[in-house]
Amino acid sequence: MARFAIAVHGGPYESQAPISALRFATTAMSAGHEIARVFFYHDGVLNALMRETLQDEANPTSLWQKFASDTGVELTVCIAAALKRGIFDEREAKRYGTQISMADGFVLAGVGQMVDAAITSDRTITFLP
Amino acid sequence: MTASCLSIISSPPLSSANSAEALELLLVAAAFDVPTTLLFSGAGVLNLIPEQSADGLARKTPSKQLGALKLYGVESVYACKSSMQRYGVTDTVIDVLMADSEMLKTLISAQDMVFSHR
Repeated sequence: MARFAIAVHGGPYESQAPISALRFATTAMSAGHEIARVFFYHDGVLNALMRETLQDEANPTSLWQKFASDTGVELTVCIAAALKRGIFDEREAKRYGTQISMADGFVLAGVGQMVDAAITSDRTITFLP
Repeated sequence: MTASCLSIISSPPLSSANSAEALELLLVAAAFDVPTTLLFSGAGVLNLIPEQSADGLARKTPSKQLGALKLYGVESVYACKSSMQRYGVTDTVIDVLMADSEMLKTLISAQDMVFSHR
């Protein structure tokens, strides 16, 4: 059994990257492998935006939230990439005097968390846009 | 820390924030004392062209970031030889080692971690 670090570099509507990452992570875990962390970088951080579900459309953010609650895997969002794309958690919204825009179930953290996950894993897999 | 790390940059410097953010990740890895190597491939070699300015384009000027690599202890910087030829890049803003396809294979397989960006 192997331990994987997963990086998602594509946004939900511009690329297949996040859904491929999600399917990989789900399948790997059901086969008994471990996921150290899913790390969202570049436009991949847009997966963490609060969004509405439109009729008949999948909601990419909800799919990640369900994955996290089913598995307990942490969904880490690069804080620098997120802030410049308008994604704020409660603490950052307070700091910058704006409103929360990050969905529940995601965590803002430094890019060091990606390096840490990669160091402690057997394999690092990047899902590019 | 013994694990080694390679970042591959394959996007050009000014049309997106990808190469700038890729360099940020690399510098953080280097700050973790992870032996860090950088490879420019495909259109990523365009980052190496000297005297580019991002003024007025709301991007980072690549030479400024590339100049920081040495400060962070990133000594190994490679460029894909065939990409350099394809894009006609001859002068580079920092010293790079040219890698042909055999060297690229060896370089990538020698790493514990590979971060790809585009």
